[in-house]
Amino acid sequence: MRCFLSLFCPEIDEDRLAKLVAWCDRYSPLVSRDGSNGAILDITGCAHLFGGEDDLLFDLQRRLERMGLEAHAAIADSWGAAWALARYGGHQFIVHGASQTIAALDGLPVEALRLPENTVWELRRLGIVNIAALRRMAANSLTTRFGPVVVQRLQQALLQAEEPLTPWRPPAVYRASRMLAEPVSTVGSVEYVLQDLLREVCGKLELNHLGSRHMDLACFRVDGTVDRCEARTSKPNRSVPHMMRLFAGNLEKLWANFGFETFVLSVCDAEPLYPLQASLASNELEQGESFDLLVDRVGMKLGFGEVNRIVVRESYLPEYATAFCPAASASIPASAEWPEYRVRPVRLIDPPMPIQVSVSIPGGEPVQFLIGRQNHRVVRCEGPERLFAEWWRDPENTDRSRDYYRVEDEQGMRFWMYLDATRTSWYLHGHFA
Amino acid sequence: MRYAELQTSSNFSFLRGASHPQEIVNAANEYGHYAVALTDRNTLSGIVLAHSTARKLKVRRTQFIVGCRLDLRNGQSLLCYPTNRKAYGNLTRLLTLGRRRASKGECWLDLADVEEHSEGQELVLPFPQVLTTQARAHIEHCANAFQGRIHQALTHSCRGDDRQWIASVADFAHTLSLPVVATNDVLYHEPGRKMLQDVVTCIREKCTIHEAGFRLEANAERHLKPGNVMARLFAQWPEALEATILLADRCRFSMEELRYEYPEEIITPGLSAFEDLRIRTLEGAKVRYPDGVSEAVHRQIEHELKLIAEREYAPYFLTVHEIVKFAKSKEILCQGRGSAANSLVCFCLGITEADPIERKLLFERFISAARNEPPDIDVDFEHERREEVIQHIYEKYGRDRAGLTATVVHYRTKRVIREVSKVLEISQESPTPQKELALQLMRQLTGFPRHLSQHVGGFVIARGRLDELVPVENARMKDRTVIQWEKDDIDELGMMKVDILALGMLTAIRRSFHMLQKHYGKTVTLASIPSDDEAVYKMLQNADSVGVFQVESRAQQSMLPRLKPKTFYDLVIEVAIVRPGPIQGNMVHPYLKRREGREPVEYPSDALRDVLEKTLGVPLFQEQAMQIAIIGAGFTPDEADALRRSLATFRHVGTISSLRERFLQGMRANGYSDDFAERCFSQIEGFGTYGFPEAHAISFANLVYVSAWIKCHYPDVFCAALLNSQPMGFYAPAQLVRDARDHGVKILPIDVNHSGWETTLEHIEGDARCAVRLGLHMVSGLAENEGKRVAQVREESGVLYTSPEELARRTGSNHRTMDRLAQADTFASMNTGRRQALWKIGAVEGKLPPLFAATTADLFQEPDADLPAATDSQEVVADYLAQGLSLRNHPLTFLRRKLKAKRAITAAELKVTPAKRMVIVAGLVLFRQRPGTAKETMFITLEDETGAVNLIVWKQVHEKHHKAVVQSQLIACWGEVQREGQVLHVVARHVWDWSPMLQGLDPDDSAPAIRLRSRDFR
Repeated sequence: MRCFLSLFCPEIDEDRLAKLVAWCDRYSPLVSRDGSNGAILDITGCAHLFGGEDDLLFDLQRRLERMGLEAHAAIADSWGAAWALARYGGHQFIVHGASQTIAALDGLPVEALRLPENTVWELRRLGIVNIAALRRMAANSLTTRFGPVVVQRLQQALLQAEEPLTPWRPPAVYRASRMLAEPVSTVGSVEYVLQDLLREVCGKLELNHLGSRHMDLACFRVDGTVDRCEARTSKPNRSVPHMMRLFAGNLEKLWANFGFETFVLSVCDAEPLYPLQASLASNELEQGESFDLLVDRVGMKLGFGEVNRIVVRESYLPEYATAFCPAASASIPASAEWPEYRVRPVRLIDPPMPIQVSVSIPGGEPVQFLIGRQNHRVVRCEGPERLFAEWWRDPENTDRSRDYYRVEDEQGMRFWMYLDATRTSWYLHGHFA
Repeated sequence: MRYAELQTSSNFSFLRGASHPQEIVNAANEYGHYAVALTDRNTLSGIVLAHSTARKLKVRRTQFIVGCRLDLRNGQSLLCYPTNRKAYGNLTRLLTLGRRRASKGECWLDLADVEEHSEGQELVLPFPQVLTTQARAHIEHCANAFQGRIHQALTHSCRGDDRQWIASVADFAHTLSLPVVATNDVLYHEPGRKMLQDVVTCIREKCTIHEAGFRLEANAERHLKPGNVMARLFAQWPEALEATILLADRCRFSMEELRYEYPEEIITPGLSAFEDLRIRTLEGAKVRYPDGVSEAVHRQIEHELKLIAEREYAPYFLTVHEIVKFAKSKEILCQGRGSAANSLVCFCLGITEADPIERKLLFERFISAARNEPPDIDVDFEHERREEVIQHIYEKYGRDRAGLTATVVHYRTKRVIREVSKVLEISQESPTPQKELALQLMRQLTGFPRHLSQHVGGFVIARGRLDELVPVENARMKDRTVIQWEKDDIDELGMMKVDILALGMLTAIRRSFHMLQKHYGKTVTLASIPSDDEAVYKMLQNADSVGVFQVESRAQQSMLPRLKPKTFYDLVIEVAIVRPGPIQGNMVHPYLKRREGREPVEYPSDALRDVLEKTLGVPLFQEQAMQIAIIGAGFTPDEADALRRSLATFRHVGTISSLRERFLQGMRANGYSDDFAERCFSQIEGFGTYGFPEAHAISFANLVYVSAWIKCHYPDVFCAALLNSQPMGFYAPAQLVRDARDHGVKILPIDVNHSGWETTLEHIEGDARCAVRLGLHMVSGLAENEGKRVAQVREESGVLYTSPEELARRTGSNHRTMDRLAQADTFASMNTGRRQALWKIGAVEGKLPPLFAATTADLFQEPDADLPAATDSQEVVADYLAQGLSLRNHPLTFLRRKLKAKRAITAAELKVTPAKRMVIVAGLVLFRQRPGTAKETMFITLEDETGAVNLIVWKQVHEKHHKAVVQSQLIACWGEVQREGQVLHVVARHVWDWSPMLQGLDPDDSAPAIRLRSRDFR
């Protein structure tokens, strides 16, 4: 006979629920979220670790209370019964055995059976309000009218049908585990085991032309608790030494206490990674790889959020036209298509440098200008490219525009300069090659 | 420097242009442009506005050119300008073609279509930003196809490399011997609108301003620019500037050339339209006056005919007559409304039902000599059968000649706030400058056209092809076509429009007449009911008017006992007085006082005595207000009319304050008190949108009287007819049924063995009055064809149903239908209660072929199930859910004990409570009303098992208890009893939401039991 604990937190939000489910790991390895405001634990064989079911419930509720979470929990032989009791059971928390279960459920409303909303509504308008009334109906009559769901839920709750539980931790793509005869507690021995595990999973990955961005090592202590460490990469990877390097920094943070007895290495995701033909001239490959390795190593050190690359943004104003995005992100946002005729220099002068310009009349185009003491005479000039301010950024000062000119001086130097909204000040904003 | 701007998009290119057409024309004129063309995208909706603006320019320098930007399906575009009337017709036909084959709001055109309709058009290719191969091919193709009348536009957009780019496009054009022309591809009339243009772009692209990126314009250059600026930009291409003038000169077509002609086939062959009208009128007169046509009538007819002949309106009258004749031949009840009732000719033709001679109405109010615009006859038809009339018009004149008028739906404040806040991501917490900027943009966007919708019923019928006059497009409704112009555009061009309107009460009256004939052997028509039945007036004086046309609203109900109508004309006043016009103008109380003799009847002057005599010196009708403007303030009739219009529409914003000044000054000059003048003006303001002319009030009063007569003498007929004509009127079926029961009518429940689809009357042994049998249409969610089949199968076989399963077998009804029938408890005649029926039909799945169904049903013979019995309150709750009413009991009866414990009194007890006493009342919310005339006050009508209670919730109380006031289904209120004659109110001091008590109705249920829909009016 299995034993389930249902947890119901009426006010919880998505975020806290996810955390709660992970936290419930302490009571049982088989935990899953249950709807939008609850969790279900298969505590078969776990209760004694906490001094029995009463004590487990007490411990759970005390801890949740301390976290400031309103929670109701109940234990029963089936998921369905535990669910019903946690939500509608009143003061009944622990129920075992078929007859006790039926007695406990009979008075509860039909909603307690996890039925679809409209089925509940249909049952109610027939006057079938509680589970006792529902049990009086013939099973095949119910199935004709409401489909198999009503009978199924009833049977599940009353221990007449099985209901498996899918634990919250997504099943790993590949996993490898080592159980040691003697617990270990030094970094060196953990490294040794890890290397062994990595060889196994990376071999499997290579065989299937896959690589992984995320691996997770679970280290089970003698006392049944778990510590974890993980390694992430920016690109799919299956190189043992590389992964070792990435894990290395984190292994030191593990706390062995009485020692680890079991290690499980899980490959959390996998993407296609085809074997590369080593080029004969053979430096490119390494360069490319070493760049990725660099990103990974810097990322593991500083956090991947800190390593960025530059993308083009859709903004006419040069200072807003580029943006940083995390280098390791799986999907790098597509850079905007830049209109070809809007020519921009590679580097901007930041902030733009004020310059003295004399202009032609009436055209208003630059004729000569001073940078420092150096006088430049304009030989060629193109423009203006008039750009309106992104007015929504500064609502008090919306009517601004700049006129950009590309100019070439007598020495063939090319400059990018603009006349600002005041119509009197000029700035140098970049050089063209 | 002479320049003509040939490429402009107004805000009729929805969510692209950011200026009104008027603004573009005015700005072009200020710059002294030689001409300006409006080239909206695939539409001519804005051209009448632009045209009339150009026509009214004080100093007219700019010629207006009709144009259109054709956006083709392949992504390319062409600007098109008709050079003459024929070419214009070609353009409208082209747009009609594109619009008619696409769904609403879209237009599918290919280059081949343009080629086919290109005769007489000047074309311009818009300036490309990049020359793709596709664009090159398009230009080459067009250059060949339209040789000699096509130009390539050059546009300087300050993108940086303009000189080179324009030069390369110009060179490419040169190689194709394609002449060039300068344009600025205008999106707004002044650069300040750039931000608004960005906002509308975001609304169009459904993105925020931060996400918009390159979908926005880089700069604010796409505004109208003065000639010298254009000259500087195009200094290198003088020929492009010169071409604007040459091209403008060739586009000589003017909207003035459009001549609208009335359809002619309705005229009897061999007669002129006028002769025909005269004959028909005189024949009609003989019918209207069976005792002989008096001299006065004769004189009036001749007088009207003379005016009609002068104006050549005869075909218009004939057209309307033809439509009315058709309706009558199909026994569709109809009645002209509005000012047409001033016309004796209309009365003789059977268009209106009130005799203008008897009512002393003036024809001049219908067709004034001063107003040179076509008359406007609006005809109401039964709402259920109006579609027949509309389809008849399409059929008779063809879709190429008849179309519905459009209504331009404008951006209203609410939507503007929503859209702009979304685009700018503005919330309550945003910093003030940002909010201020948003506010400024919101103000600009308000009043922009948003899309075209169909007018409620305004038809335009032409002699020739309508689609050569104006583009015709598809409406959202199937089988409807709409023209691209709205009512004001049509008036501007002097086109004829007939309003085919729908009126629910006409449907109910026709049904009543039918039932009177069938069950009581009485033949009645609109005209045949004697108009001086004392019982009817007595009933109305007691505010017993639930269901009666117009006077059933709460405001009317509280007016009836004060006004105490005794004659037909009192009803006319009753209809006119409870309107925003008189209420805003503070005319109601003076009138009532004078009527009750508590105030002397005085006239502000002798001149106004004639105008105001009918209404005891207080202006109540629209034309009285107009007359005051004319006689009192010295307006010309034209000005008075302009005043009324300026208040009615968006179009003439800004003229109101100057007209107001003029009005007040004029009144002062003629020696009227400021106070009176102010009141008159605010009344005119009210009339602008919601005023009733006297003739219109008479037409409506006619229906008030007829419906009241039926209710008074045949409440059973009245109830059944109203139930069958839902949705209409003020009250939900529950209140109509309740009212009928209060008048002693027996109401029988819906039953599959007795009900038809509609509600019917059943004769009862020994009772002169019939009982009302509710029909299957009352079952909520039951499909009409399914319900009809249930009744039909039973009637045709003459055999009653014996069980739900048997009914399902015989009718082949699907599960959904059976479910609805069972839920509504319609199997009572076979001794099957609601729950048993629901259980039994649970096994009926889908729609089985009859043969197969017979065998399966036998196979699965189940014993009756052991279902718990329902309590009374559960039954009532279920009744409300399934049919919106219950014949068993009022839901509040079950709560009365609880309510009593909370010291709430019933409506019946309230009736005998003295004034000024503080009481607690509670009831289900029937209506919430927040009249435009009393913005901050909420009127709520509650209902309990003994009757209705009226609450007044003043602003402060409303604000304090906002949630309870607005959201509750069961309201409790502590307040003071207020009495005014028979009128009884409770003025709320405190309001509670007691809706949770309704949950207690069904002890088994935790969900809200009754979801009553109150009808909320603004």
